[in-house]
Amino acid sequence: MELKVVVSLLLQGVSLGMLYFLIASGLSLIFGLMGVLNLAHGSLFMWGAYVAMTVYGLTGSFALGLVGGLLAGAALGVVLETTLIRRLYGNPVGQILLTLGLILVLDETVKLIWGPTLLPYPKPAFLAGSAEVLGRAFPHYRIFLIVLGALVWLVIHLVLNRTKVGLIIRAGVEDREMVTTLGIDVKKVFTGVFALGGALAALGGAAAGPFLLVYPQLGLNNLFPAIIVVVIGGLGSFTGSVIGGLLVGVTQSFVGYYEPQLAVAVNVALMALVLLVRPHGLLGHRGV
Amino acid sequence: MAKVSRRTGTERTWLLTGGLLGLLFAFPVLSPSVYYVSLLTSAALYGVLAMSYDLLMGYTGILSFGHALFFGVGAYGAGILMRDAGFDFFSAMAVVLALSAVLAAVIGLLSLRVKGVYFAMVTMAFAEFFHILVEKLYHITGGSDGFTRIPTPVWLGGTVQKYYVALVFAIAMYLLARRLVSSPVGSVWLAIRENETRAAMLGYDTFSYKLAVMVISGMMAALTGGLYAVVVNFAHPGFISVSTTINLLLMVVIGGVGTLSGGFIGALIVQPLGRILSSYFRAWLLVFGVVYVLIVLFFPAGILGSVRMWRLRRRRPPGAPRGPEAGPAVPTASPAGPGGAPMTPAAPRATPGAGPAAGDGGAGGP
Amino acid sequence: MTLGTMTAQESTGQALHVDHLSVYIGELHILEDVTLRASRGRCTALLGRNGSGKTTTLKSIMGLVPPAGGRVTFYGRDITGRPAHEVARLGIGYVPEDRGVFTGLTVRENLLLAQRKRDDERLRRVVRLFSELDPLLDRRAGTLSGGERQMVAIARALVNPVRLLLVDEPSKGLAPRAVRRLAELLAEVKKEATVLLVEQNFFLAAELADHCYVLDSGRTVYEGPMGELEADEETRRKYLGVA
Repeated sequence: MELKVVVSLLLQGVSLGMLYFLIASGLSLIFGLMGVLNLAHGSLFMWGAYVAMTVYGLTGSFALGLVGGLLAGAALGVVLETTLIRRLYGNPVGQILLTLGLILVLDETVKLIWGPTLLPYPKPAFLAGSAEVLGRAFPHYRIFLIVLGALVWLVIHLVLNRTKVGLIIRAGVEDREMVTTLGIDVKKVFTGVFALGGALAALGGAAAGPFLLVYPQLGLNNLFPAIIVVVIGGLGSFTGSVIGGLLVGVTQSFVGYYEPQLAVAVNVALMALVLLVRPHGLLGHRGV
Repeated sequence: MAKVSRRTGTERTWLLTGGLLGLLFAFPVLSPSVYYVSLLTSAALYGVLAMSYDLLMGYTGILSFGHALFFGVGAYGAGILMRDAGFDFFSAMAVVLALSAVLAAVIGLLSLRVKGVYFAMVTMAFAEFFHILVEKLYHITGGSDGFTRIPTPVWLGGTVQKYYVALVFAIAMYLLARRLVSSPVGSVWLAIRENETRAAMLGYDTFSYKLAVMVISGMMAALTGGLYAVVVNFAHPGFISVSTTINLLLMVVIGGVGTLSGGFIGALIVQPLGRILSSYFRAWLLVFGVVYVLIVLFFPAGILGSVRMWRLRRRRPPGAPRGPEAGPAVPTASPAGPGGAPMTPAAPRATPGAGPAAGDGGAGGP
Repeated sequence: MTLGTMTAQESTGQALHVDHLSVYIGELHILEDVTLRASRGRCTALLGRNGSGKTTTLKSIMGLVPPAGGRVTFYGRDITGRPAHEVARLGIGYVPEDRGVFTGLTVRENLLLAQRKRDDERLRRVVRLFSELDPLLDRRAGTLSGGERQMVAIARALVNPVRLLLVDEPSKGLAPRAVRRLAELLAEVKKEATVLLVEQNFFLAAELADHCYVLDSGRTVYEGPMGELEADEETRRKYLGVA
């Protein structure tokens, strides 16, 4: 294989991986801290895309659209956590059943508001072109996704490692009960992490919209890649979701180049492999 | 069934069952339109599917998100064998059964290594893998257009025949499942649901029992899928999609987890009622979602479970001991702690350690 | 060293009063009727065999296990069934049986996490007392030995002004040398804070405690000055299995 093809595929894989990382990281963090597998996470991703598309359409500003999507995701996260999910902490099956119902509610609401059909979400003009990388065209939009993903990763990484809240989250993922005995009200942190997870997913959706198109099955369709990424990376591990996302994205890109039919199958195989070697994911630990 | 100590209760149950069966068998005559007969046919088959799911979820406490996979394998297997490979109905079904047993065993061996939420995710990914496979293998499966023109055996020709076959099939499967859960194997399943660590300490090889329930419920789902495909003459990738599993979950949760018959009640509500209502009322699915969420939050035992608990409460003085089968499974009974660490006996479960918010977790309790 | 944990008027009298506490887990009685007091400025030992309810008593005081009956008062204030974070903020430090050190965090992060109000001076004093921790501050706690982790756990409870320290089996799983050092440190801590100590190692308890209670099957079966129990061979044999 020629070097330029490799580089091009690698870049493509990384951009895809960043997208997966954006969806998966919130899912992973929420699970790690609260033990909640939020199946409605894909729906938050989709809401981010719809709200961003709408705000972009109304204001003409792509950036405002992204912010709008992000805020919508955060707000939904807070509302869901404080009114519903909070009632079922310590009951993992109940939570799965609940968040499953939320998929129905959130997705059907999208259909009622925006209709059941595919909607256009154009790329902004400044991101519509493509750059030349080693003689091959590489869309600006993919570069934008890579930059956005890297930026989000950096911000969250700093928050987790340099702030008190980050310390509480990391400690809480390990042992929630112990954190409360240090005088910390973890419930407040829970709401915050739900907001953060919702915001990350929705930002992912807002950024992915022009790339994946906007339709009412967008949420469910992206729940699976997110789940694969999280299982590979290890539930509860933020770094794991980065590694998992990139691994899945790059694999998909390379396999897809030769045999598009097999791309998704390979990811499932990758997951099966990781599970055989490390049942709790690359960076997950048994306790979680 | 809840063992009711009073004779009158037993008699009433028999009377009710007999009346219900009579009504079901007379339905094609009573029905104003053949449309309702076909609706009830598919509800009966979905009921069996939901019941097979309940064996996993309600009786063994295994939350799989890939159950639709077996339904789809049955449907496509029967379809391909009968249309393109010249098999007759019964030999096709035999192959489907063998195939699904092997598949369930392989998937079980891989995915049962992890527990709880991880298991749910892994099974979901497996199902999605097959879903995509079926969509992509266009030349064999017809891709996203679906697999059409599945031949129907003569004895299954008309709507009414299909109804009766589905009804008899459903009854037979129900009796089989009932027999299974009341067998010694069934009580080990229940023990696993209640506390897997304890079951393992009692010397049961819980892995094998879980594998067994996966294979049995997988075969049951595949058989149902095969029959369904023949009844409706086609198969569709949507059969394998997670939406199908989600529908099953909805049916079981609404009807009552760990009751077997709850699956049928749920199927009746989700299938015919849903189809009729959604044709009149665009927001039906949204309303349904909201109702479902309310059930999960406030009536975690489902319709049948709630009715049973209410009847038990009326019959027994409070505080009287309940047999292991007396109460329906409430989804609070989880096979594992968050993330799949095996549940440690007693202590951490009942403490707020299970969640610092236990103080306001009352809604989830039985 | 001084940690300044007690105000003058708290130096005598009763800090904690556990009154007829009972705890059920499911159908199981874990605590039937536990009554004990911890006096200000003293070290009170809670003794008993495995499964006698010592750990549950501490957890219940801490708000981790909801009591079914009885009362817990802390300096006259009813804290029965209050959530753990509120109990902690009243100045109750908790060192659990498994130490509860966050293995993914560094030692420094463990200490910083625990400190509710930033007080570098206090942190320095704690590290000075637990001098072994000084070179380990930037090590991940997961890489520490059992004895070192135990020190982190106790040090962590002292980075806030602590009026009562609950310590659950600190010597468990430690090498004899580490137990020696632990005894020294707890003797220091005891000068500054009221301590309620659960301990299987009778000799360690005897060395540290002024007063003791013995639990058996979730009930308080013995109460008296530590010295008396040391002399009372029969009670020791009956409830603790040590001669």
